Amino acid sequence: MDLKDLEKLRQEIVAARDGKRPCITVCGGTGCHAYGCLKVAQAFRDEVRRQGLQDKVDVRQTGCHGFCERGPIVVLQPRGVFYQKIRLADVPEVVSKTVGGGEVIDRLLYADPATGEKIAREEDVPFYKKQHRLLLGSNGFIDPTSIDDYIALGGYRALAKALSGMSPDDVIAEATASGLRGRGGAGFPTGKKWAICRRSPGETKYVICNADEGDPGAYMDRSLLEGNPHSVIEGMIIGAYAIGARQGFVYVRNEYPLAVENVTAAVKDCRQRGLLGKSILGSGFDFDLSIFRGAGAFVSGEETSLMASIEGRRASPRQKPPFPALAGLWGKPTNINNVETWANVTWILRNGAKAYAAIGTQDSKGTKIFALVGKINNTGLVEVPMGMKLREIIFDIGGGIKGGKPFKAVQTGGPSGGCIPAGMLDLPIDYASLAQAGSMMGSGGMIVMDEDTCMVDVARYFLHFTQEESCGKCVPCRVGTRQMAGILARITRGQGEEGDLEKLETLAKTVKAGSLCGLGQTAPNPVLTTIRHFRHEYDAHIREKRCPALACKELLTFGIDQKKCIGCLLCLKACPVKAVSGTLKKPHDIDQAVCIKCGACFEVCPAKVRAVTKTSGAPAPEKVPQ
Amino acid sequence: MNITIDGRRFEVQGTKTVLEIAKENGIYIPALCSHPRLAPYAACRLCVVEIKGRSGLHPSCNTYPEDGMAVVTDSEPLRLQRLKTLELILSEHPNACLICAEKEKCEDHKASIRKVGEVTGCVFCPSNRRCELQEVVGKLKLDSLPYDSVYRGLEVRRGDPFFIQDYNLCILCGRCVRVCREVRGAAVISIVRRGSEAVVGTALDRKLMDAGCQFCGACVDVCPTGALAERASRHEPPPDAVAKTVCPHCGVGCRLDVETLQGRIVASRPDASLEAPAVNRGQACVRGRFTLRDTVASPRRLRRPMIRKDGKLVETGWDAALAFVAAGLKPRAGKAALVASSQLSLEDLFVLDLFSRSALKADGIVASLGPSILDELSAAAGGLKAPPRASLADVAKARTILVLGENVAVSHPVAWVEILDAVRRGGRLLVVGPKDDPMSRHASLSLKVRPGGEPALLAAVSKALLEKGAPSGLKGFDAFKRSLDGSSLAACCESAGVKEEDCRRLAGALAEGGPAALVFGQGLCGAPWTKACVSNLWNLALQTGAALFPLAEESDSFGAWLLMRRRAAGAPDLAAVLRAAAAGTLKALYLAGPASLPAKHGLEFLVVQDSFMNDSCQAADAVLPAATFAETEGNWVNLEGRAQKSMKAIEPLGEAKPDWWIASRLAGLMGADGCAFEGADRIKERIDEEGLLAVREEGGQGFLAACPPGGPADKAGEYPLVLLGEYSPDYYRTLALCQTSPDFKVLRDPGWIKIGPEDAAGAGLQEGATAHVESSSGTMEAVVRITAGMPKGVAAVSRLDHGLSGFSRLSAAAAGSARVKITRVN
Amino acid sequence: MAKILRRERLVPNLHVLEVSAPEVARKSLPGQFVMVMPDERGERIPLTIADWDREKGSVTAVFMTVGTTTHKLARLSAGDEIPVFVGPLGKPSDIQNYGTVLLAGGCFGIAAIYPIARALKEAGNKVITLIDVKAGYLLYWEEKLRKVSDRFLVSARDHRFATKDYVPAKIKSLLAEGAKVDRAVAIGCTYLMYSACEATRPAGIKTMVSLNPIMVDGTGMCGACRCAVEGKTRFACVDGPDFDGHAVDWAELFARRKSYLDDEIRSLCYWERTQLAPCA
Repeated sequence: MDLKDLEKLRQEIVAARDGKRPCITVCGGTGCHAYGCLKVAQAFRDEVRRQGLQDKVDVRQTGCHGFCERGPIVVLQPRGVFYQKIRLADVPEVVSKTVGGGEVIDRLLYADPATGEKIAREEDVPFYKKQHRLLLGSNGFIDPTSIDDYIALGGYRALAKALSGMSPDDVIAEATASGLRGRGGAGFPTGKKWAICRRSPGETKYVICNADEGDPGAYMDRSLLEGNPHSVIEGMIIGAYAIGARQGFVYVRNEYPLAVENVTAAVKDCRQRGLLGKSILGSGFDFDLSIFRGAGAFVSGEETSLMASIEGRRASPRQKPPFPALAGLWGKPTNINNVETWANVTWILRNGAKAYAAIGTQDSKGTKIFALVGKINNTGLVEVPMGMKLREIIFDIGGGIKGGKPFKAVQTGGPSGGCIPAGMLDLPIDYASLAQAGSMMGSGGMIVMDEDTCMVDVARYFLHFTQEESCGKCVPCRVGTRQMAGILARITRGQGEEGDLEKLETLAKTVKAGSLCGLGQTAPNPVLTTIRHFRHEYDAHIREKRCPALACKELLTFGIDQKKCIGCLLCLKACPVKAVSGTLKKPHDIDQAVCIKCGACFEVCPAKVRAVTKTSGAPAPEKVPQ
Repeated sequence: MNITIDGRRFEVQGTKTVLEIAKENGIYIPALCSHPRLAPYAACRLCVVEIKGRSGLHPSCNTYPEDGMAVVTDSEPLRLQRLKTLELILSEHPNACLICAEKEKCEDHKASIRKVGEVTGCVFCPSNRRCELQEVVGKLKLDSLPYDSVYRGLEVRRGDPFFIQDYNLCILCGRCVRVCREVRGAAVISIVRRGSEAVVGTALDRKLMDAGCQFCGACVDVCPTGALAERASRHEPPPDAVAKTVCPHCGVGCRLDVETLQGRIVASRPDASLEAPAVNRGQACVRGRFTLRDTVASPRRLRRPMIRKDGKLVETGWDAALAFVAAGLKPRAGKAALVASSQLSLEDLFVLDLFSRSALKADGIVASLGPSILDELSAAAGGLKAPPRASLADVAKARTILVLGENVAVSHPVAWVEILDAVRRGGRLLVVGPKDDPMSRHASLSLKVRPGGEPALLAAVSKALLEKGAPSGLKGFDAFKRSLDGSSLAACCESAGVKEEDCRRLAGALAEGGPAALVFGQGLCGAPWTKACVSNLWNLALQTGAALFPLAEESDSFGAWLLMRRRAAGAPDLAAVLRAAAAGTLKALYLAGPASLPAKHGLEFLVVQDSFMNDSCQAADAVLPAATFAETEGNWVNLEGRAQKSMKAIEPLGEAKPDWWIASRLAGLMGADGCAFEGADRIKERIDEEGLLAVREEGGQGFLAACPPGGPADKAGEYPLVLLGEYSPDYYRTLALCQTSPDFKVLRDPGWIKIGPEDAAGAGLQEGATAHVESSSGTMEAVVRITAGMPKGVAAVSRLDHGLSGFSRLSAAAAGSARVKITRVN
Repeated sequence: MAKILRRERLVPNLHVLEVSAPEVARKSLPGQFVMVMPDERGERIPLTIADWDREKGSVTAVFMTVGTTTHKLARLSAGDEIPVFVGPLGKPSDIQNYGTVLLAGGCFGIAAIYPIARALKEAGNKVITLIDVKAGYLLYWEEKLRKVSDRFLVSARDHRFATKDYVPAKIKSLLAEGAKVDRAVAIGCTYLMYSACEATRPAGIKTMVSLNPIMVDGTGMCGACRCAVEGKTRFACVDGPDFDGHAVDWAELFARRKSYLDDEIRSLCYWERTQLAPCA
């Protein structure tokens, strides 16, 4: 198939589809899988057949719509009616009433928590309204396993444009003009990276898509690859054409089986349609892609470890220089970009660099997808233009903190990102400002925390993560993170000593300055930012053996307020170690020596009584003599 | 280009790193994971420096200079960063003694404490005072630690021969892993698991000996701490003297530092000095690295002269013994012969040669190894003045290397390291042999030929080259071409048991130009087709312009060849001497090397001069104790033809004397003149006067008549399997290494029979079972070692002549292989 | 044959050995030792008795793996039998009420001073125990020793104890504090006992040490354990093992202990090699 055929194919597909024909789209992202969206989609197909509408109504399982909090999500096209939290029982009613009769079912609509007002159309839902979904937007319209859906939406038109009219240098100029910077976390200008790789000597070159996404809190690369694999593949072919690479790898972590499946299927389809392999679209440019499954190490997201893994060696980084653009995979020039970066390339080539540069700030162009998780009402994937303020993301789009609790901090950039306190909520989200705040763009993870989160425990958790995921090659990272995690663990157990903070800070400086790769250089960020912004919490843990957020178990004390206790024996029965003493209708008491601080008594104590007290740093209430 | 370090300006090229430049100019930068022979690794992060105009710290071991670069190696932040990094390293290392004020005093009194099971402090450690970590701690003046000491409590791994692995002392610098992969090509170990659990280990946590380790000791020598420690010497206090010696084993001639303590050998390490790098460039093999101590101090050492009195060997003094021997030899001069091992020094062999000619009236020394590859090459080429000499460094630069019928990784391990160096630089390795061996893994083409099919293959390759190449102007080319016309290429390939297409690929690779080397050795000797094989190799070299690189087998084979070259034509070789002894025409035999005497012989007088008790002593009339290589001074001529001086490490044990001393005294007693020497240096002066070593090859020899491939392979018949007699280099003079080193027996044992999995299953043999091997002329028993590389229908057994392998009973002396059948002993 | 009840690795290089030997247990007193042979062809070595249970009839000793015999012992486990477990031998430490006693112990000495400390405590003394360990992970029996001492000190080269000094420095700082010490006991490796005595010599505090020369039979027959005390030749096995540290000729003891060093090393190397299972 060559350029003209591509256009002819699109005409054919579009013609065969009746724009107005109703189509029930069911979200198929991994998040919704957990909610059982596969059964829901099957139920719709059975119901449509049962009601004999099968030749008048389509059912399509799409990629992730982004609003994971309210899954399974069903959107009835073309009118865009947005139903959320669909249960199997609702299916018959939706098919008969809305699809058949066009009547909107009120209870399935999204209700704005603030006003309680019901919103019917997807675009009007506040979660989506302020977003600017360049990449995730088409997820809702495409069945990821059908290349025709993608082509129907204008897929591969950007590639055709690049291959027909543009020289590789033009493509590089377009990428540079767009101001696109790497979405992997470091934010290196993509155009410049391609130019260096193109200029490197040697005719065998490689392009790699880094889909390792080791950060446990981020899943935007996953949803892009699962929902719209072709947008990533198209971007890679364009990049390979620009750099002059004939072989590419998609390095997907094995923990994303659906992504592996969809990308593998997409590559097979491309080969059949002549979009991969020899002389793509008849342009004479040969390029092929192979899928390489990551073996589950966080460090293999670092480019030199990733390449070592592809070469079949142990995934541990090597010292740079030489940079991969000069000597990468098997010593050949190699260009590595993140999934989101490749998807942006496709959008830029299709809509032009100027349109892309119009979005975002002075030095951070385009949009960024964040994985909004934690104590937030609207958990999900949020694609916003660079420069949007944190407050807008968390409150306008995120719907504020769960249970209306006060916002405490947000951790951006994954396990080696920093924590940003409430005072900096008006910080614009871009590479420079996040770095100044001691954090980083990183993977795009955005973990929202409320007052119940103990910042010292957060720092301990992240240090424990990076210490376990360190490859163990260089001393500062292997041993430094272990010592820091040890000190933090001691502090959370109430064994903190004077001088621990100074020791943590020197250690952090040693690890940050001495480590060989990004993992070690950024691992201390959570500690440094939590000490910088929440030093009072550390002091409370060390000096008063008190955990302000009542999260650190060893520092908690459970006691019974004798005046309020009605002697109902509930906590006595619930206690696993028989620490509660007392008889019916008599005030009970907890034996502090036996108590293992599991908090069962605190949970079972009736709300209106609230006799069991959960305090930290203060002794349990006095036992009133009988 | 020029750069400045700490303000001092240097003119440099781009090949050296900033760390190397600094070290060469006396600027100290701490570094624990870098090593001159290994690629930069940048893991310990101690060598970080600041570079003006660049943010952050840069490891100087991985930073190459750029013009105008200004480097700062010493500043307050750097000092703090290095100190903090060193503290982190020490927090997981038993550091108590490092920061203790009493260390010196305690050390003198606690010498006996080095025998503890687990090292918890420097005083206990085998690498005490030799450890690079101690050096860095001293240089950075670290005297306290801000962390509680952690003991990883990893189990000390003692299950392997030669050295133990205590990874509680390991700082994960990765040098052992890198030297095993980058220099030795074995890649047996790697870093396993992650984060603070990371440790050095093998795949599936197997023992080293089960993971393919050849125990070359390279990892033990590069380990900066005591994690890898030699079993035999790890409890010993540090040595009090070091002698520069040359290894007595194989032809490579590695320079070794023999460490001694109170006149006794403690350990031998490769000479790793960078100023005048030795031929082995800091590498060695299991024989030179781990067995010399046990060999020299073997309980089998002969310590006092013995003469036979009424049927029994009785110890006497030297004067009585020499007089007795002189009396015994004098009447039988003219009907005597002298056999010498070519593991003796050039001085020893020279005097023995003189003694043989003047006193015994024989025709010089006879090599106990039998015809060496140098003799075969010289005979095939009609008497060469000197064999072709290519240096090991040339092999390392070769673009194409053909290794024929020789497991270089076992016979000449350090030569194999240079071949690997060539392969790493992009050279192509072609391996041809009857069975798979560890080398095939690195070969771009590995051909398995039918046993004895080597000459046929070489003929086929020559024919393939003739089809393509232009005729050569050299002498004898037409005769050579005509001799090959007799048989078609297909027939040659069929006779060699190789596909024609592979043969053409081999020819194509050899014709590709760029320096090429044909490497072959003792593996081709002692077989009926040896002469054919060597001549075909000679022609192939002339056709392709490749350098012939015969691997002289023993440490002084080259020297022995130079001496034996001067003999008259038709002078008897070892086989002829033994036949004459059996027939009774020979009356007196002087054995200064290993040789298996025939059961019945007509000798009237037998003298054995050796360092170790051996079988021949039973029949000997006199036994004279000779000093080993470590107890005498002398030159050993390696396979490059380079004479290297070896110094004396210890005084001779008992009353052993150097070989040249014994021969010189005997010659004097027998009235032969010209043999009186007072020291090894005098002998060397005489050798130089005679220009023995100064021989150079002049004028190219022309082509030789190629030998057509032998007849069709003989049928299976009653003895289905072909048993190869593999040349085994594991001995020193008459002592087989497995007799003196229990550890060596685990690595290689002449009592083994290597057999393919199919054949073993067919005969119902399990690993380690005893097999009964029978041929038309004899039987033997051997322990089964199932080896994946053995092709179907072929088995292999060691041909060690120290009476330990029954192979000589199975086949005629020069058969090289035998047809056998193998059954289970139950 | 004595049956082993328990043989465990306490800390690196130090193992506890509990053996069922009712007669020995019945008569054991602090400061005494037993002669032990791990197997028929083994060597006899002296081990200081660290504890006993007269009812159960068990005797406990702690040994350090510093040679072939101790390595053999360390490979035995509960249920194995050892051919020789002879004792209690040697004169027991003399236990009186001296007032304040300082007991210093290092490596195996930590276990050796325990019974003496316990006895001195029962005799009414004020007991100060000073434990020397190179690092925190080498400390063992801490609870046991704390129970029998009024003051428990540690000298170590480990940040955990915030000290870097060895036994003599710790004793000097203790005396400098003005602590009144009437008597001292020091047990451990020869160097520890020697340096402890040097530290107490200026203050004139009588320091009893339990000498550890090479012994063969342990009952006064062979004379291997000869040492010079106050210029006179004394047998550590029958006249000791406790002696007045200030009267001992330490130089001679250091030299005698090293006299078989070469053979010990060769024996250990040979024994370690035989642990390697030959392949066929």
